[in-house]
Amino acid sequence: MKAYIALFRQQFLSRLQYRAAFWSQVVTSIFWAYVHTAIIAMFYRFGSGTASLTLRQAIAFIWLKEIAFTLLPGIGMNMDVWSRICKGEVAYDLVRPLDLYGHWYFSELSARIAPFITAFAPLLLAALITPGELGLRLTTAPLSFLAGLFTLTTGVLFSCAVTCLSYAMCMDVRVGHAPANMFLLVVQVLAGSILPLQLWPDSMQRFLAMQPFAGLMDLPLRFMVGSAALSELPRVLMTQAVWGALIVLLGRFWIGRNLKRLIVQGG
Amino acid sequence: MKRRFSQSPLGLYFGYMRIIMAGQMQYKGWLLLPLPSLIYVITDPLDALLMLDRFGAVGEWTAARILLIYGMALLSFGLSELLGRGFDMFPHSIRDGAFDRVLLRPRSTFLQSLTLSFSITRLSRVSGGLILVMLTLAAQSVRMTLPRLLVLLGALAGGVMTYVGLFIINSVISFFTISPIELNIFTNGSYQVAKAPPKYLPQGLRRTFTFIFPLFMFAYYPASTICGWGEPGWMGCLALPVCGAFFALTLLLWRFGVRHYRSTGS
Repeated sequence: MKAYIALFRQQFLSRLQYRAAFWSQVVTSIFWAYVHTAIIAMFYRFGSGTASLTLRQAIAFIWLKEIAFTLLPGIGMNMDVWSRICKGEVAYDLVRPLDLYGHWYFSELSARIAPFITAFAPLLLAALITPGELGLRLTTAPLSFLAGLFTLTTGVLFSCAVTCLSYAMCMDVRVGHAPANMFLLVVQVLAGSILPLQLWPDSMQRFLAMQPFAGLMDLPLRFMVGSAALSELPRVLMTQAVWGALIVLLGRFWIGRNLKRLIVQGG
Repeated sequence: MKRRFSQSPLGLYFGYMRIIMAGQMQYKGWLLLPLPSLIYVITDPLDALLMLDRFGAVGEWTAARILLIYGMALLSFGLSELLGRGFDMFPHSIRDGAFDRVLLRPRSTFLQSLTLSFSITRLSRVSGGLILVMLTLAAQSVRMTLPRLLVLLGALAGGVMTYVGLFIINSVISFFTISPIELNIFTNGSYQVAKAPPKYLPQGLRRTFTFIFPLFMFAYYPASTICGWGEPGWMGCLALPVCGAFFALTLLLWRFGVRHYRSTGS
């Protein structure tokens, strides 16, 4: 346990060390979210179609998405593990008296949580003070908001399992790092990273709500902006738990198999 | 490789490029390399396509118009990534000390940094942008006359200069921050703005992307000139001078940055 806490500390400190980089990232996020809300508002105002989300909900979604963005697998990649795999330094990790999967999972967890906590306050402040209809205005019932917050937290546990699966892909020489990257990108899109899933075509809604990755961000945010009923909560938690467990098992199995084939070449 | 490089800047540039290319082609599957990044070609315009699918055209702004502006920005960005990839990767070379080596050589630091790396995988964004531009021009049944082609080429050249200029600004900043920062407000993010016609954007954004970062100068106004959307025609021809001025400014910044470089010692 002490080792895992050390991993957390290390992530936090390295986040705080490069202050200029941190602030430029925050400004980028704010600016980008603002542009996105402006584009969405344009479509709502001048377009002719209808959507199941109101403009206010859609804009709240964009801001919350920007805040929760770093919780998605592969965003602001934890390059440590990734480059260790590519450079063949996995051997160092094997020498440590830690379970390899556990080590990677927790280092990933801290890489998700540290940037979220450090960037949370400035992003939220910017979202709230943005004037007019482009700002974050929530009218959700408190209970529904809490449900969203809770499922977002459980979603992080799922998110780290997905990243570990991508590590397994990266380790496998038959797959390699480019496909692993593609996998992460598809996961992000399906989690609602480019557009709230509820704004996708109506014919795809069934599939979009059923696929596992909606549970990473889109479903929790639906609670937060009030576009999903509270009665959905057990189903969302179930999907997260079942898929999360499956992906952890798959990742462990795959990494285990990769290790059997692993050849450490001195040096 | 017995042939020596010509010592002119352009000869040096292509010489460096040839070496990197030759290195990459050692991997037999090099033709397949751009394939994985093709997925960006699909995911980049995806949200605009989905929104258009749901909300239809925005006033007189049909999908073809919006996607043409977007395609021009995307194509410029892709080309600048292809040609100026070195600056894209530059911040890392400060951290690992590779820039010390650059300084030791009696050649232009700018040129060497420009050619730090070259990645054939960047071809996919270029081809995606190119296809988008051609399709959207055809959809509006625009006949490609010579003046129009010249406006288009001028716009693309301006776009490439602007984006390479941004990579340079990013590199200059990393002289001071050491850690590579993600200044993708104006790079990866910027062509997202091109999804909205300027007159529908809030004034602040519109001005930012016309005067500070001239995205609309090389994407929107030239497109308007080519297709006749009613903006003054001469605005479309300004891409090259305006973006050229922007580029020249970033070169000055670069010299300032190099003068203040302090090695990280690793």
